[in-house]
Amino acid sequence: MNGLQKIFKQTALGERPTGVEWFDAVRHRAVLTWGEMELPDTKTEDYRRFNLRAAMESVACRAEGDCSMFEPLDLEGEVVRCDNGRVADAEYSILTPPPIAEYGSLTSAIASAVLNTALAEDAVVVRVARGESRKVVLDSRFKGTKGALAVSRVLVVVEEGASLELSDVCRTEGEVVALRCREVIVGRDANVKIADVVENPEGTVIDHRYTSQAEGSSTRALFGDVSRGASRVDVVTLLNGPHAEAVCDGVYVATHGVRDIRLDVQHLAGECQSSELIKGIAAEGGRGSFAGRIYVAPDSQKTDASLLNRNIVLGTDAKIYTKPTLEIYADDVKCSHGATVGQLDPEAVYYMRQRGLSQQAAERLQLLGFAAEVVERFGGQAAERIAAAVEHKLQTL
Amino acid sequence: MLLEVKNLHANVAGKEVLRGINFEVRPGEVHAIMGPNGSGKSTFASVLAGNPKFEVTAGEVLYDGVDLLSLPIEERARQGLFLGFQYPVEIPGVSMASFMKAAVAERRKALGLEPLSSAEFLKLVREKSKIVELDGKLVSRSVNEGFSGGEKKKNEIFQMAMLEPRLAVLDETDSGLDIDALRIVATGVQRLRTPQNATVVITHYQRLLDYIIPDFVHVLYKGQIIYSGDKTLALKLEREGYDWLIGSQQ
Repeated sequence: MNGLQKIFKQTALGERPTGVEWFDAVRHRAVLTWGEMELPDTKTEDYRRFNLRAAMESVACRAEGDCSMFEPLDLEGEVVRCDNGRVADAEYSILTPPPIAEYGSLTSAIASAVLNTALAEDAVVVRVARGESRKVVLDSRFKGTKGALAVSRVLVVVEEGASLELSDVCRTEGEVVALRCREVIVGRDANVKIADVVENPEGTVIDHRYTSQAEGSSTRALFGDVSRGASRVDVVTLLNGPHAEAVCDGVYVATHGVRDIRLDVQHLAGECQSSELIKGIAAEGGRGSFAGRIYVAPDSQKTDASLLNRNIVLGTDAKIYTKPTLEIYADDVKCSHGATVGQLDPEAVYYMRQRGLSQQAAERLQLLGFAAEVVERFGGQAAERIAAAVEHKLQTL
Repeated sequence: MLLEVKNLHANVAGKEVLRGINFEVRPGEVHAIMGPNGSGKSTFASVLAGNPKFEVTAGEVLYDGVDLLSLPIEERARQGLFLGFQYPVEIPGVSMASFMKAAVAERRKALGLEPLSSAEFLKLVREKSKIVELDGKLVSRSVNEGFSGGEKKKNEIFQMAMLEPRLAVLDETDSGLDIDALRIVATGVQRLRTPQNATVVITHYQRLLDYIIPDFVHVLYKGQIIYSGDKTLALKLEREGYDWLIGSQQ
C-alpha cells in the first residue's frame, strides 16, 4: 500500500475524524467520488506537463512540520495563518460551528479538487457579509520533508454588494507537496480582488482556484509564481449571471521544474466580460505550460472575452508550451485569443547598453518590464510583493 | 583630441559599408556629417557606438587616446559616448525613470561619483526635461512606448542631457520632426554645448544646422569622407545637392 492509499484509508475509515460530523460527511462523499476516479497522468490528461499521478504516488505521509520559522507577512489586512492546512485561529476555521452551507458545493471534475476535498482536515472560511468591505491576508505555510503531503482548503464567500481584497501568499520549506484548493463564491454586485503569490524554494504546489460569480459581480486576480520547485495550477472561473466581469492575470518564472497552468473561463450568462493575460518566463531548463480556454455557452450573447499568453524563453534548454482555445456556442460575441513565444529583444538590449547598462542589467530590466505590465495592471502591496519576488528571482538567473 | 578615426572599414552582412573613414573631433567642436542615402552615415554612428551588427575590418578609433573599438558597448557609453538613435527603441514595461536612474548611476560611477539619491534624481529629471520641453509625464511611462515621433527624438536629447556625454553622435535627430519640434530639439542640443564636450550631427538637411551651428561639415559618400568644409558647405549642398561632389568622384 502506498502512502496516498494509507492516507485515504485513514480518511475513509474515519481514523482521523475532525469530530465535526457534517464536515466529515463531505469528506467521505469525496472519498467515494475519488474511488471512481483514476489518478490522471500526462498520458490521460490533455495538454498537461505536470504528472499528477507521479506526484501523488511519491507521497508517503501527511506533513506535520512546524511552520513557525517563516517571517510574518508585511501586508495590510487581517492575517489568517494556516500551517500545513491547519487554521491557526479558530475564528476562521470551518470546524468552528455553525456548518457552512456553501462548503463542498465544488463538483468540479478536476481530480486535484476532489482529492483535496477528500483529504482536507480543516479549511479557512472567510465570509464577507452583505455590503461589508474587508481586506484579508492568507498566510499559507507548508513545511515537510520529501514525500510529505499537506492539504490546504479555503472557502471564501463574498455576499451581495460586499467587497474583499485577498492576498494569498503560499510559502513552502522542504520538498513538501502542497495540495491546495480555494473556492471563491462571489455574490451579486460584489467585488473581489485576489493576489496569489507562490514563493516556494523547492516544494511542489498543486493548486485549484475556483471562482463562481453572480450577476453584476466583478473579480480581478493576479498570480505570481517564482518557485524553484514544480507547480500545477487550475484556475476556473464561472460567470453565472449577466454583467459579471473577471480579469485574471499572471506571471511566472520557470526554472528547473515545470509550471503547468490551466485556465478555464466559462461564460454561462450573456453580457459578461473576461480578460486574461498570462506572462511566462522560462530559463535554466525550466518548462512552462499553459492551456487556456474561454467557453461561451449557448445564449451567452454579447460576451466580451480575451485570452492572451505571452512568453519569453531564455537559453536553449528551457521550453514553453502554450495552447489558448476558444469554445463558443453563441453567435453574437466578441472573443479573442492568442499566444506568443519569443526571446529578449536584442535591439532593446543594445539600446540600454548604449546608455551604460551592462548586458545582464539590460536583459534583467527587459524581463522585469515584461512582467511589469500585469503587475502594474493590478497594483497594490501584493502586486509589489510579486514584482519584488520576480526581480529577486531574475537576479539569480 | 577627443576622437580620432583612422582608415575605418566596416562590413554589414559581408558587404563593405565603411571604406576608410578618417575623422577627427576636438573638445568644444560641432561636426555635421551629410551625404546621400546609403552613403554609410548611420553605419559610422553605429560602429562608434559598438552595434554588434557591424564588423570592423580595418582601422583604428581613439577616444580620448583609448582604443574605442576594444571597449564593450556599455563601457563606451559610461566613458561619455552617446548615440542619439535615428529610430529610438520601444521597451515595453521598462519605465523611463528606472532606465535613466540605472544609466545615470553607471555614468556617475565611471566618473567616480556617488549615485544620486531619489530626490536628487527627480530634481535632475525636472531640470533636464525642461531643456527639450519634454512632458514630465513621459518619464513615468515605458521607454519610448506610445511616444510620438517628436517625443521620441526629444527623449533622446533628454537622455543626452541627463548623461552629460563628452561626445554625442546624433543620428538624424531631425528626421520626422515638425518645425516646432525641430527647433526645440536643436535648441536643446545647442544649450548642452560646452567647451569640453563635442557633438557629431548626422543630418540630411541644412535647417537643423540653423540651430546647431557646426564648425565643420563633412560629406560622406560610399563609405568615405569625400569633402569637408565649414558651415557654408551645408548651405551650398542645400542649394546644389551632391551632384557636383559625386560627379568628381566618378
